[in-house]
Formats: sequence, structure tokens, C-alpha cells
Amino acid sequence: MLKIDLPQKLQREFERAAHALYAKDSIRHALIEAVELWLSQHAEVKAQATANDDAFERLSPELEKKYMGKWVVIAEGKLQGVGDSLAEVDHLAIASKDRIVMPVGLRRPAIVEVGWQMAFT
Amino acid sequence: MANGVHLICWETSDRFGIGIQIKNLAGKNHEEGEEIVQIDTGFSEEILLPYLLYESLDLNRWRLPSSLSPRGTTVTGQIIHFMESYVDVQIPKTDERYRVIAQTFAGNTRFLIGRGFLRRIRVLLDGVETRTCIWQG
Repeated sequence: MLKIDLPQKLQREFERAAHALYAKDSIRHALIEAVELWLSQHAEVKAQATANDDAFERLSPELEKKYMGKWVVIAEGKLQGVGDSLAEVDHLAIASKDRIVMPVGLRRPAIVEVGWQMAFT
Repeated sequence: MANGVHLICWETSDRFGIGIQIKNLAGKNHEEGEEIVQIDTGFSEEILLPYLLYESLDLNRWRLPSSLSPRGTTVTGQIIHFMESYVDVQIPKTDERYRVIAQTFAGNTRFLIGRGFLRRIRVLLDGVETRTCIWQG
């Protein structure tokens, strides 16, 4: 059994819209639709992220050879463009929900010290 | 203040922190004003964001590749796989802005300032006066 409290305003709006659309079992129908939509949106973003990560791995050697230090945008599973600064490339594929935006050759630490406060809740 | 040093302070009774605002690179704020965010000198990077905040600011649109992102291990031995993205950190009281690489991980609820960010500013942890200050000048 799933039980949650919604913010009052959202709940009132949700119930009104659901009743207007579905006569019988209106809340149940609308909730199932909402959950399905949320799941499909997350699956879509995850798929885009995987495609972009794969594209980065594929393109990385060539990017480092040709565009070291330049900024790139990878989105929709492909290189969208190259520029001298982030500002120059930031408009590329701006509507995509997942983009890799970085200077070519960027290195990150392999390990981060996380301190005592960080833990899974 | 003497010698041309000007202190900007926040009342921080228990935990030390400074007032910041996070913006995505399209200018969307995490909130209208500032939020006092705790300083954690055990965290080696710049800013740790709650996962929900990372999502609500659409930070996947300015992220780094997963293969470059570091890992961490908590005191309880859990392995953390970080997600990283460029963000702007604003200190509204001083009108300073820093572009940094922020981190989060799935399920994270903590909002922290780490040692990486402290290298950009001068901080005074004033336990006697129960305040945290940064100074300019």
C-alpha cells in the first residue's frame, strides 16, 4: 500500500482535474498515469545519459587529439559542437535533458574524501 | 574593521556555514535568497548538493561524463558514485560568484561546502561570537 500526503493546493487541483476527466476510479486512473509518465521520463533521461556517456568514450581519443582545451557539448549521443569557451557552446542542444558539457582534457580526482557527515539515508 | 579588512558574517549557533545561492548555468536559482550551507572540512571537493536540488536545477544539462566522476567511501564503508555538473555559486551578501563543479549522488540529502570551495575565500570560524565570517579586503 502506497500512502502519501500531497501539498493541499496540489491535491485539490489534482482531484478536480481527475474527477473532470474520469468518472469512475478517477484518482486511481490519474495516479497510475502520473506514475507511468514519471517512470517513462526517467527512463528516457537515463537512456540519453547512457548514449552520451558512450559517445564520450568513443569520441574522447579524437577530441583530445584535435580539440585539447576547447569546450564541447555532447548530447543526443553525438558531438554537438566545439568552442573556445563554455559560453560559446552552451546554446547547443539546450533543450536536451542530458548533456555533457566540458573542456576537452579535463581530469577529475579518482577518489573524493567524503568526511563523516555523508551517508546514505 | 582594522587594516581595511571587512568581515561579512552569518549567525551560526551550532554548525559553521555561509549563505550561498546555487544557480544553474541558465540562471535558475535554487531559492530567491541565500541559504546558510554548512562547511564540512572532511569533504575534499567544492559543493555537495542534495540530489533533489541537483534534479530540480536540471544539472544533467551541464554534467561531466560518468567515467570521469570520482568515487568516495563513507565512514560506514558505502561506496558513493558521484554525479558532477557545473554550477554557479553566488554569495549574495558580497555579490561574489564562482563557477564550480558541484557533486551529488543518488539519495543524497546533504548540502555541504567542502575544502575545495574554501580555497577560494577567507573564512573565520568564530565560535566565541557564534558566527561564521568571510572577509574582503
